[in-house]
Amino acid sequence: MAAPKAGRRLQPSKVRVAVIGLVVVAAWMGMGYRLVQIQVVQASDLAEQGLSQRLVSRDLAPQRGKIFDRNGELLAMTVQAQSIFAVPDQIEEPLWVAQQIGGLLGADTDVLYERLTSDRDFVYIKRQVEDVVANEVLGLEIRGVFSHPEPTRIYPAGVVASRVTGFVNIDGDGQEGLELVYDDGLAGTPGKAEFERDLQGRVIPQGFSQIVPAIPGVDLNTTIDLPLQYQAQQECLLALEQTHALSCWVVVLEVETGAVLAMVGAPVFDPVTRQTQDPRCDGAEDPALCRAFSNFTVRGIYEPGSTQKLITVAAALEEGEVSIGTVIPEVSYELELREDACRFADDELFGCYRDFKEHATEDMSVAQIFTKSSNIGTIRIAETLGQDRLIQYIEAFGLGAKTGIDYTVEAAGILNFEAGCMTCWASAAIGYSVAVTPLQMAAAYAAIGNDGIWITPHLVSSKTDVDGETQVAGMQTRRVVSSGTSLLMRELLASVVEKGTGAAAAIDGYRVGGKTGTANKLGADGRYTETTRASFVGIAPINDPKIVVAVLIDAPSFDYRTGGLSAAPVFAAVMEQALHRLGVTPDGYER
Amino acid sequence: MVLIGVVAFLGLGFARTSLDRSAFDLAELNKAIGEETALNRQMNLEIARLVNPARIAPLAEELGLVIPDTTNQLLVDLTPEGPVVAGTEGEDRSQ
Repeated sequence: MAAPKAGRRLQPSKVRVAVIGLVVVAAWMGMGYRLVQIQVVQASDLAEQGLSQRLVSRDLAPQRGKIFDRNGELLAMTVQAQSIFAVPDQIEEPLWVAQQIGGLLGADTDVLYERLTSDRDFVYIKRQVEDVVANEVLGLEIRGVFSHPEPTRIYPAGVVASRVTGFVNIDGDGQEGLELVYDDGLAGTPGKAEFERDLQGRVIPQGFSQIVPAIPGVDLNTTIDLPLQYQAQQECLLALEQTHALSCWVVVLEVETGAVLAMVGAPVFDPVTRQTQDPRCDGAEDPALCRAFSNFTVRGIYEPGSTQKLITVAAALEEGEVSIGTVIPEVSYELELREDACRFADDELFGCYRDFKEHATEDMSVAQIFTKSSNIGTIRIAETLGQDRLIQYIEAFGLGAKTGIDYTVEAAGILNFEAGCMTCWASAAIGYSVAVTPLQMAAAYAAIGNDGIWITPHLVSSKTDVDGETQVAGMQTRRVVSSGTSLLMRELLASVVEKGTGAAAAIDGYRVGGKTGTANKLGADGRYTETTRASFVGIAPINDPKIVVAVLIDAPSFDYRTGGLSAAPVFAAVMEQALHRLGVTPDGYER
Repeated sequence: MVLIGVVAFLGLGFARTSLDRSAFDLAELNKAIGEETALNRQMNLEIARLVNPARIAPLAEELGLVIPDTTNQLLVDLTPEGPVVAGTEGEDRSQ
């Protein structure tokens, strides 16, 4: 058969096959090209993009450290709570929602309604609500109302330990007390977690995961004895009720270690709301009065009055200027260090000194002067020392300087010895012209109980971190008087309780010693008023002192104006409980 | 050889899915641990609230309990002959 002639056309079916074949080849080539482009050329960029979409980075909040008392009871801890918030745009019936939620949360309905009708994208309804309450709110299934977890600080002991723990702000940062002093340690170190997650938010196993764990905060082990703290607070509240005083403050120290066993004040305050729980605050005009969470035992200063005489007499004994039996001749009821200072019987001017009770001029031994708390006799004893040595011992006993306790904003107190002041030494000898904190007085008396060695008070005995328990750095100690002088002073303190102004401080079964203090308060005009600050500082048992208790009652009513009447009974009740709590063996003393 | 290859491939796949399943289980367990830890913390908090003296003292008062006025202590004298228990013959050391 002859070959077809040139120019003859291909059959249409063969053309279609060829075209289809070309299209298929082109498609495959295109796919191949795309494959190479994705898997080879753009591979790393696309993988990175995918990873960034799946990768989540979260900060890991560290668990804030706990605070314990000396028996391991919890004073403060952080737990997970829920913060309830709303998206106002999504709220359909804001008034109804405000009423429903306000009732469950105990919140003001009007304030809630205002927030729910605002033009903000997001409003908090209430932060840091307990899970049980939050679940009730969320159980209403109200559109636009949500919650997110947020840690909250809880104080199980409530008002009992609030003056020790202090408190934190809404963000969990320490603001006062131990929460502030040890904030860095308590806060811990945040961590970071990066991981891949799927659409449901679950972690993709075998995916990229990098975790730097959060380091929890340290736990603080305090020296506080919670039952004693409670008991002391109750005694203070009772004293306020009986004496109608403005406030009551108590510090309890362990003599040999300086450990603070209790530190209380009344009126009390709630560490969560920072509101003072005082009936006098109901409807008070000045709200500042009812936010009195400042710790007077550490921060407040007052003229100590006769409790200061411990230092004056101890100094004179230590310097050998007097002995307990030394007789000071002709101790009068009144003494003028400036001419005509005592011109009027009811007007003590600058430089006029009087004893509390009028008496005839008589010879008095040092022991009698101390036991009866004679101002004139004490000034006569101070005369033998001179101002320089008196100041030296006042400072040695820790007055005029911070004790160094691990607490916030401690007051140093004031020693007023202006140049050219003729009478400052005399005033200081009997507890005026100096201003001290209750803690300073407690530490001074503890030195007498500790054989003449002054020791820094402290609130935290140790810290527990992730590596195990660590001890807090050692305290400062210094000798202020000899053990012989301490022994003599303890006997004098005992005589105040057994024969003198401190009879109300006696305790069955234990021999105690202490000193009453009654200092008039200064008025606005700079003159002393009839209002007093009554105090009692004492130690027990006298033969082997273990505990110091300092009590201060601010502005008791006239019937209770002296330390013997108002502060000494509080001392007795608190000291008795403290001795029992520490299991101190009674010495058989019967009052 | 092909059969071995196929079996190995399938085995690898099975192992991988088992691993992933275990990882999900581990994540669930870790979540459960977190919840139990939080519950434990809540219970410790509850204990602390229950032992608070401010809660117990009023309850005790309601029940008629009082704080004792005095503490009695029994001193046992350990002599070489053995303990002398207070209240028996010999010196009465109870207080």
